[in-house]
Amino acid sequence: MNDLMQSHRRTWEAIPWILNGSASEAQRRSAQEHLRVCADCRESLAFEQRLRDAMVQPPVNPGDAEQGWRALCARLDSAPVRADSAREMKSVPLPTRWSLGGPVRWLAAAVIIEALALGAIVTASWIRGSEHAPQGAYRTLSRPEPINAAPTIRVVLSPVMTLEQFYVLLNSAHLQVVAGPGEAGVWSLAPAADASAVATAAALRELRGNPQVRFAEPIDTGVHALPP
Amino acid sequence: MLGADADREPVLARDDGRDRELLQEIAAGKRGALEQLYFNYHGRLGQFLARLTGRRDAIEEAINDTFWIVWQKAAQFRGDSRPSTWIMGIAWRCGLKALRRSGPLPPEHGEATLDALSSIDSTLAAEELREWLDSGLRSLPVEQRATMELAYFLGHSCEEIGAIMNCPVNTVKARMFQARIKLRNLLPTLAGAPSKEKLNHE
Repeated sequence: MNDLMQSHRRTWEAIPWILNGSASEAQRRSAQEHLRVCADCRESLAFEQRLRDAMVQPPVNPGDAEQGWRALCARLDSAPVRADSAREMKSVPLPTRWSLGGPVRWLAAAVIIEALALGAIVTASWIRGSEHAPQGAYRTLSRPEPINAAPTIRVVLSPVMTLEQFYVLLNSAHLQVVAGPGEAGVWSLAPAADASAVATAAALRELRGNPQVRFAEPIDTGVHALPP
Repeated sequence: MLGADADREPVLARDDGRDRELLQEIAAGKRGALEQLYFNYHGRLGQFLARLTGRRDAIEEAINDTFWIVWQKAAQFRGDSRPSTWIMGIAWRCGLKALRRSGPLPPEHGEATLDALSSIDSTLAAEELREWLDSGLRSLPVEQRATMELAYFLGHSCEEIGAIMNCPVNTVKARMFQARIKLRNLLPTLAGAPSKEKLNHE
């Protein structure tokens, strides 16, 4: 490719950037020199100029900005907490319950109601179980003798927790299943070996530290009172 | 020859300083700053997204999405680029998302044929010229269409368009090259030449 052809190519490619004002001074000078001798590029420049002029015409119908803004405001109002605000909350005082937005207040209320309902179900299930099922009758197919240990903890698990994960958790907390799951999904657990209050408290911490354990409460037998 | 255009200011360049201030205020949670930025950009974004998506119903949704992200992410704007480059990058991605959601252009808004274009009188009124141009732009692939729009309507540089569209500068140059060739052949009246004439740059 000779110099003229290279200059021709460079100029043709630079035309849009010259027209929109973003070309470098060197590009502009080089194009200026070439345009003096190249009718094709002068004609291309004129065409692109007309094209650009047509494109920069203000839009005929840009849409209703007021209506669009109202729609955006409604969206912002429905989710008042920004992603960065959540991060900033570490360094600012927590809002009082009355300063929480509507959705946040409702979410908090829903969590409380869920916890109360779960507690009621567990209690009812426990009472029913105490009345109708003999304690210590739990056994597995791989275990010839029934487990006679008294339950010390009741738990409710997340439905997404697998059996394998449950076994791993039981092992790490040194617990075994005594009964369950009941109608409400309540499992009764007993210590695998150490039945002391300290061991029960440690097992409870282990259970409560697992995100897939929804509920873990000690059973007050009068024998295994937890330390204060 | 080239000096005639030197004093033409790109559409967004004059607002850079104020836009930076507004973004800082938005990062601080000032809704009023967002409102100002929204109304400053609404018309430009409307036209950009109208040509990008080809669908009026998708425009408001894409503008809404764009400013929703601006509101959420304003604190992340570090000033490495012009505010308009940052905002247009968001609008580009929201426009593509809207395009994917709304599907391909309906047939009546599809490819601009040479026959259709040649039926237009050479003494076009501004309105007709706009429709004719929009029709020609719609015949381009969306990336080429957006490149033309970002360069000619919004005045962005080659490097800025690369940043907006998240692609190398050479890709921007190639898209611009192909778009210009196609438009030159599709818009003969604007070129002041016979309709079937082809450039020898291909």
